[in-house]
Amino acid sequence: MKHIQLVVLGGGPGGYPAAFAAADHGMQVVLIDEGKQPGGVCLNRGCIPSKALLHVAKLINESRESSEWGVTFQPPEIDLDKLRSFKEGVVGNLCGGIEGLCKARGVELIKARGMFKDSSTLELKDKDGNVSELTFDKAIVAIGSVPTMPGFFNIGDDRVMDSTGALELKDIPAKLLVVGGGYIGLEMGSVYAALGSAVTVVEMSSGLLPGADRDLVTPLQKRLQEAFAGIHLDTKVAKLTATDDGIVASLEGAGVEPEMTFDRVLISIGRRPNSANCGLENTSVELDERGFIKVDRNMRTADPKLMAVGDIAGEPMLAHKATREAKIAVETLLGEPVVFDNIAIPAVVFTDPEIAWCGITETEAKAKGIEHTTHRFPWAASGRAQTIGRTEGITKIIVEPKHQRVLGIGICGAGAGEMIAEAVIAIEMGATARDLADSIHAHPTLSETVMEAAESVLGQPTHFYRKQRKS
Amino acid sequence: MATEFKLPEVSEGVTSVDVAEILVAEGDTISAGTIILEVETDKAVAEIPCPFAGTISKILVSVGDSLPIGQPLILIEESGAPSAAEPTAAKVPAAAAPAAKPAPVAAAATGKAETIDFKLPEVSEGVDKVDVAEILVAVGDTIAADAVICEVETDKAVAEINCPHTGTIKAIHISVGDTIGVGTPLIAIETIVGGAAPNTAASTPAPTAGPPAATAPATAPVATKPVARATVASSDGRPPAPAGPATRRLARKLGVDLYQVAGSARGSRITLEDVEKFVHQRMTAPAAPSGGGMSVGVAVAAPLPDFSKFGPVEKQPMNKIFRSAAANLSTAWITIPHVTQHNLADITELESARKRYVKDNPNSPKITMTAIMIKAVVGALRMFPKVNSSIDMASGELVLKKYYHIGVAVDTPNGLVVPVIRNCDQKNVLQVAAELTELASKARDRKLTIEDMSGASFTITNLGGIGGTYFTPIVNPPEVAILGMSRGQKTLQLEDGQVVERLLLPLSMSYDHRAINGADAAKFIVKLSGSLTNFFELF
Repeated sequence: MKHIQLVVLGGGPGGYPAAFAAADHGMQVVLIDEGKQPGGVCLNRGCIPSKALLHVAKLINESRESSEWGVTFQPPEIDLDKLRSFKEGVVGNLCGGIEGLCKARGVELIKARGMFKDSSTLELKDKDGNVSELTFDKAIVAIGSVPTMPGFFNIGDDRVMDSTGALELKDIPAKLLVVGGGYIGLEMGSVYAALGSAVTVVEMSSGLLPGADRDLVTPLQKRLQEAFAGIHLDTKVAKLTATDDGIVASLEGAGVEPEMTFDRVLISIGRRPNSANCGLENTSVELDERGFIKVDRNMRTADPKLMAVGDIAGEPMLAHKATREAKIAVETLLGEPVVFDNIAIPAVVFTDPEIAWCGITETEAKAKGIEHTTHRFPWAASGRAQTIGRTEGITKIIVEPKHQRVLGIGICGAGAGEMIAEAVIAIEMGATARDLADSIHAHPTLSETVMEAAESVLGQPTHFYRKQRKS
Repeated sequence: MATEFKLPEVSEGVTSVDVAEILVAEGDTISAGTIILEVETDKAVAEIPCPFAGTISKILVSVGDSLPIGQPLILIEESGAPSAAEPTAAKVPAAAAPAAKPAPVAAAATGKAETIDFKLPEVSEGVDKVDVAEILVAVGDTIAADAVICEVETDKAVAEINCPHTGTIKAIHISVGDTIGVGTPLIAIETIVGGAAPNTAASTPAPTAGPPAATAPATAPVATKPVARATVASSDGRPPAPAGPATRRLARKLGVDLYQVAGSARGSRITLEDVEKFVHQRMTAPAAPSGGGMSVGVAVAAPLPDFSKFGPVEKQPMNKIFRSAAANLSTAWITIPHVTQHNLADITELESARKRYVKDNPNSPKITMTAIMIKAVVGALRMFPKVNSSIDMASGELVLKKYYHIGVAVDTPNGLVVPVIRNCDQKNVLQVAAELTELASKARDRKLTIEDMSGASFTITNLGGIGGTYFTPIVNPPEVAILGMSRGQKTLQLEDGQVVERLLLPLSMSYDHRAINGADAAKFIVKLSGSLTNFFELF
């Protein structure tokens, strides 16, 4: 039987960086992934394909909006096959890149499904049903998560899709119901709306994007209300029924038609850890009540031979968190002085406008009674925002009052996802508002809004004047 | 089914421990969190709480055993499912105070997400150990945010500890007299914060897991229980220390607690250099007396005889102020070459002027001889700056102070304390007198803060109220001199062949001979005495 020093189970943004880092430090590594190509959800059916489609959606929207600036295009003609192959090309390139990097680093990639027989043995089954076994000194479990699909939505009709199905882009439904107003629902809803679908979003709670500060969501919500056929908050989907005319959704909520018919339905109500059916019960790892593997700040599980990283190791289920955890797991194995001590994990919603935040949110600070002050800079005062016709944005900064240390930054606006990097560095470095305000930001860029938000902590920003309240 | 409880990680970097004491026996029924063992590491004695509740069916270790992390300690028949909140596996502060009482169940028992262990926050800069003087709350009390829950004694002062959480107290983890460190859990409180806080993980203290046991990938199992991790970095609910990732990594590597490092960058941010400097200072600092003990350097007192052989005795515990004063005095006595210079100051006219002023101005702050002496000392210090200095043996520098903060020793029932009057050069004698009265009464009421007692550049101690002629006070480092005042005495003196009665004040100035040479000290005290006699120069 084959014995290996380190096995990494799962080839997504938690697994492959772990395998690479371990190999770079001279360990003998096998990477096991059950997919056709490595890359996990992120590359195959998550971050990457959705961003390719969102880019196209943005282009379509801008071609419409530009008529206001005196440039009018013909309505777009959409060649769905070609669009799909553009998306698949991007995915293929990146996944192929990972296979290439495996080879270059001497990481053996085994395409098979792994099941733990015990804490040091994996049973591998490839797509042809061949079974083999592998023993190891240590394993890093990076088996990710899957979309939640409750039984009563799973009516055995392929017009009811999860995010994976929606990314396949089988057709452009005339009417699409999105169940769940989280980031996945809004991103995919935006794609289909740009392609021409009438999109209806139903969200059970009282607001879109739970977890984000409301003032960041407002500009997005305004825009989506125009782009979408409807947004129904505080509304529940009680039942889905397949008919020849479409999927009939029974809706419960104030002021909502109780029955509506859709050509397709996207269920995007969250994701759950993939901890079932991989033999974890044959090891000593412990799961929490939601099925996440319990880990410590070094990504060690209760089983001394197993570590876990990524979605399987807990919230937030984000690719960039997984990658950081992968490095921590490997450095822990190497005895480096490392723990997961990150203060800021950025969250980005790639809608248009984008929403991005990191560190503490204002809502969180209030709920926990953390001393703070919040300062907002409206993009209407940004020259760059004016030039791109996107003045609805907002940049806010949350600081601790004593040193004005930056606790959190939130941005809503075009390109917020790229801008949040500065905020993450500021928070991790313990920067103060003065540090940001006194650093020169290139003009004219949207990043100036971060500098000006920091200036409003200290007094008045250059391009915005707020009357001081007399005290 | 019997559960094996294994030795959890005791402290960062500790790979094996010796069993010092076994506190349970086979057949004992224990609750979760019961301390079952005391173990010795190379640094401290630590208590090992067992996270399981149940009956001990077997004890697998004996006193004196040397155990690696992960070694099975006991077999326990569990009486219930392990609690939801992970018992904080080896929550033993690195330098665990031996006196700390077993923290009763609380944290483990209910395990509700809203129950928070409130831990001892930083009391004052540089203070890492305190004694619990008084507990002002009881289990079941509902307290508002910032309620004072206990009073603790530091080396120098009594401080009140405010709990920032609102809620009901579920358990009290400390007892009066305990010596506890920063981070020691004080109470468990069920918070009643309004509204849903979805991210409870962040407020739940997650025990810091130490670094891996060894280097190679295939190594000994690490028996720490994993916990659901907070997404926010802080491991105990405190905001993270302001330092970038590279600095945090260096600190972990060197075992530096970043909360103890003063940041030099903007907004007190801690830089890589700050961490290096901190380690350098610690490594070059003279060995500090440890814990409650009082041994200093190489001088170890001989063991005491059994006094009861000679007669009845009573043992009186020394409080923290006594203990640390004793340790500090020993250090001062051993490290400072002391010389004491005496002199008699003629204060005949000064004293009668003082008395007259006090009598005529009953509503004015009470001018005492100490208050006048403070002003006189400042005048002399201006002329002899070395007396207002500190000596830095490590860098070979004399640190001359451009400020005049005068400490005044005050005897209180609770011990000797030294409140400080700041910037005495900028205050007139009335202001000094008023402040002195206020500080003395604060001292007697145990209300002095640490700030009230830090930063002195010279100290005065006045025994005049009691009597005696001369004494040799001990310098209060890092100062280099201290002035002792005794009782003024009427003396017959010859003046122009006539016998006259004069009031003479005996002064004794002890000084650090490394910083001040004998001639300067003599000049200082002569100048000082002269200014009391010809007291116009004080104004």
